[in-house]
Amino acid sequence: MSALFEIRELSKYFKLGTRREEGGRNPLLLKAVDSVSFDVLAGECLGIVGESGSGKSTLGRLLLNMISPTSGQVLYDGQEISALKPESAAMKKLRGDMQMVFQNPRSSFNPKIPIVRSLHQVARLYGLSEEAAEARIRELFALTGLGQDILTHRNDELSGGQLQRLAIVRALIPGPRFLMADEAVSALDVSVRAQILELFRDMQQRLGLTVFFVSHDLSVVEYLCDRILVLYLGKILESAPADELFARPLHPYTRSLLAARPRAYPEEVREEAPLAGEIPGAVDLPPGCRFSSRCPEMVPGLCDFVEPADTEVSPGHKVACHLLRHCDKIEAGGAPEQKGCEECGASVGKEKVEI
Amino acid sequence: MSDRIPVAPLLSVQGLEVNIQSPKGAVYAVRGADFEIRRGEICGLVGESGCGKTITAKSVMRLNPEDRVVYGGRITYEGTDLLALPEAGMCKVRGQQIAMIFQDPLSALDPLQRVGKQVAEVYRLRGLGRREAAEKAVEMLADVGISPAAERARAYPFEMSGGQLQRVMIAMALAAGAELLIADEPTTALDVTVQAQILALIRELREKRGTSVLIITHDFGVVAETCDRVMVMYAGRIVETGTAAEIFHAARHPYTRDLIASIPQKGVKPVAIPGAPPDLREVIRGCAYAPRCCRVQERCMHETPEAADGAACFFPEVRP
Repeated sequence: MSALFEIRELSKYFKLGTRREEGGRNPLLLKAVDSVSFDVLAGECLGIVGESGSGKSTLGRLLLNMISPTSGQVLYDGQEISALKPESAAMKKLRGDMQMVFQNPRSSFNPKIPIVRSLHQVARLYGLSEEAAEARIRELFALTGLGQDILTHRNDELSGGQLQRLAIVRALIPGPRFLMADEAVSALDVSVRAQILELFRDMQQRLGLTVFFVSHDLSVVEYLCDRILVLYLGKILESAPADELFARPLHPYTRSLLAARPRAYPEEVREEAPLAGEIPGAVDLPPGCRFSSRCPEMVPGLCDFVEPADTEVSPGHKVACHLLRHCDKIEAGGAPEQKGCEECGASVGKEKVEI
Repeated sequence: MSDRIPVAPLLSVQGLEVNIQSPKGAVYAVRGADFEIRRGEICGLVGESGCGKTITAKSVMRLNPEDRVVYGGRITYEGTDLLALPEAGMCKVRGQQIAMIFQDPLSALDPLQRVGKQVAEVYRLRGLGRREAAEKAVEMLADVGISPAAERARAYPFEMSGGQLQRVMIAMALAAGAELLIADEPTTALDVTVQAQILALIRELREKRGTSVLIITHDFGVVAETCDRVMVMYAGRIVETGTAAEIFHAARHPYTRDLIASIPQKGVKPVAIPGAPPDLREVIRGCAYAPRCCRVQERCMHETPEAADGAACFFPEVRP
């Protein structure tokens, strides 16, 4: 698979103000996304997970060039779109290619006009004639299993599930190649969530869409996505194919996230203690690993001083953690608790590594 | 829990009906709900949005706008019929006996008061002196896992995270001395990691203080984490009641089974429930779930099933 998006050392800092320090005033920066690199492959569903405040949504917005990065590049089909102004004509031309579905479908439709007009507005924006728009909407309604009768309704007369379907239809009107879903099922009921997830999967397969799925819900991502990035305070701590990540989570943060997942059944036994504390703000990041302040396996003197680099533990599975970095010989396969390096004795998991 | 000697339930709801007058016509939000909560028990009330979960909980607290609501049935708390109680009597029940926490704690707290003061106010209402109340408030905040409590007590709500605020809400409920805590979607707005912490705190309350809890949620994960017993609500009625294990592994009502099948789970494809819940402004004939049910038969269309052996269904799944 070729890369649809290439993200190269992308950063987005928000300036919150200035602070008086020795040697003058320095800007107070919130590092929402901090030097992140990855590819989005054509036709894949890429999941982004992390707690609120980890930079998931900012990353999504950067991909669509809705906001300009502080540094780094976003290449779309080889073209550096991050160099274009978000409002520029060249960028607007590309917008039809990349569409978005939001968390709250109710607030993303104009409450004062019937749904049909909301959809036609979008069609007109992308240069479809009245007839073409009508045909397109009819086609998409058939594709998504929506009944024509809801077109005349306004958003307060429709259910959350219906509105989210309509939001997906609206996103598909210009015939995009790329769909970004920002917590697109988080506001929906369980019973409806399954319908919308099914629709995403169906649309992705039938239309060959590339999907960037931002979610805090690991079960949803596990079900839908091919590959997953785990984000924490603006950095990718672990990235892996979905099966691999769930079968063999290596970063302590990923493992904590998995452990925090509510049980599927009342009798399910918890293996790891849930994570203590909460995600700190992305201002004044500590030196070293960003997760060190909460990490149950933090090695003092290492993790809180040196920022870990990515280690590729198996093809496509990258982890940014000193416990792995320490020894390059940790092989692929096996549960992290049992698998360690035989030569140096380093193990991933419970035991601390001697430095 | 089932082998205990049967005692009178702490809270008993019988044939509760709630009819809300709205400009668009009357909404029959609750249509004959029956359930009970025993002492020291964590109960879950689950169902889709709009099924009447929150209205039921607010009816127990009598927090619905009383000029636009007509109640039917009985809500008995330790022998007192709450629906018959005058407002002054209800004020004694609220907080001191039954407390409620909400999905969005930020909007439930006073934005202009330090959180410590808001907790202390509860103690003041119980007759404690200013200084003693403040000390007790800090102690309580420490008890619910806020640290450093003395320092954080001086914070304003906007300075705290959602998880911390939910802890403050729980502290206020405990400060009032409530024996029954109603938690309406307490973790829906929180991160998974923080959700796990709050649910652990709720379990701890029950262990240490014997507080009974009613958790209202649409998330079966929350149920699996905390609940002893579960009530499943659909279109204003309780359609199934059972222990958590029964609901997860041997549910009898088709709705419960369908809901559980719709949860995305490892290696299992979630099955969506076709259709949508009924409009609660309309009269429902027969079983409310009949139009979406896979086991529907002629009888379901015109007769309303009463609860029998846990499930209100004419053709429930037979337990092995």
